[in-house]
Amino acid sequence: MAYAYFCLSGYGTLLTILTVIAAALALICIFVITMNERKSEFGILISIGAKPRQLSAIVYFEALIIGVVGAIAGVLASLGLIAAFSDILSVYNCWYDEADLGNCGD
Amino acid sequence: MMKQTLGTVEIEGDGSIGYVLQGDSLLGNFTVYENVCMPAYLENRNDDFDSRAEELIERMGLSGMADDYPKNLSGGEKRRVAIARAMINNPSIILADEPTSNLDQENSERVMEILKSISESGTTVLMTTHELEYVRYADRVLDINKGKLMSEAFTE
Repeated sequence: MAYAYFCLSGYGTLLTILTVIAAALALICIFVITMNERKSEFGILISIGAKPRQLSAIVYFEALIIGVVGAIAGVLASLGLIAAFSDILSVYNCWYDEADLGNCGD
Repeated sequence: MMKQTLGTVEIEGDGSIGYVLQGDSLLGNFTVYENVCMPAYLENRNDDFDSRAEELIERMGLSGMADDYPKNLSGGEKRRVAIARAMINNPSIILADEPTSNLDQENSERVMEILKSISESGTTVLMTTHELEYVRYADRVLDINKGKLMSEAFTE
């Protein structure tokens, strides 16, 4: 059976950071669009007595719930995927093995 | 919401205002009961407003609909929920913006009867309308055109 070794080198770290930034931007965009769609709902709430800080609290609380639930679901899904592909995907960290530096993927 | 560009408004008493917005103004994710109670929740009231909400729902002829969602209500029913919501905090004034817009004759009459009874029980009702047939419910009629007061009449 063929084994693929992925080296978590400088490029891997850069890729991870870019993925996190892309995911964060996508989340912010979706959240802003959702909030814009709910403008009329916020208008109704203000007109029946909601104070600006109450609206902020609603928005932040929703963001918190989405963030926490999304993070837990994301970690669980990634653990499941890693387990499912563990026989063909082996994560090999070169940083801890000086002897193998530069020999990744061989 | 727009800020006023000119003038001031002075209100006697505690100055609380209940607002009946124009058109469909209920929050779709909440039941009739929760919509009616929303201004009380927002005021962080700790007193027993539950019984007041139930009384208002009954007074609006919506008994048995407390747990329904707005999407299951007719236009007239939604408007009456909005009036109950405006009443929950016992305001001294009810401000109603075109409360009969998009309603048929029967529902409009019903809404006007409710507003009249609120007015007779001691709460001032200030409403805007362009449907002149409902002017007969008012004690005082102000004709405003392009921001200018054209005429003023007392009907009783």
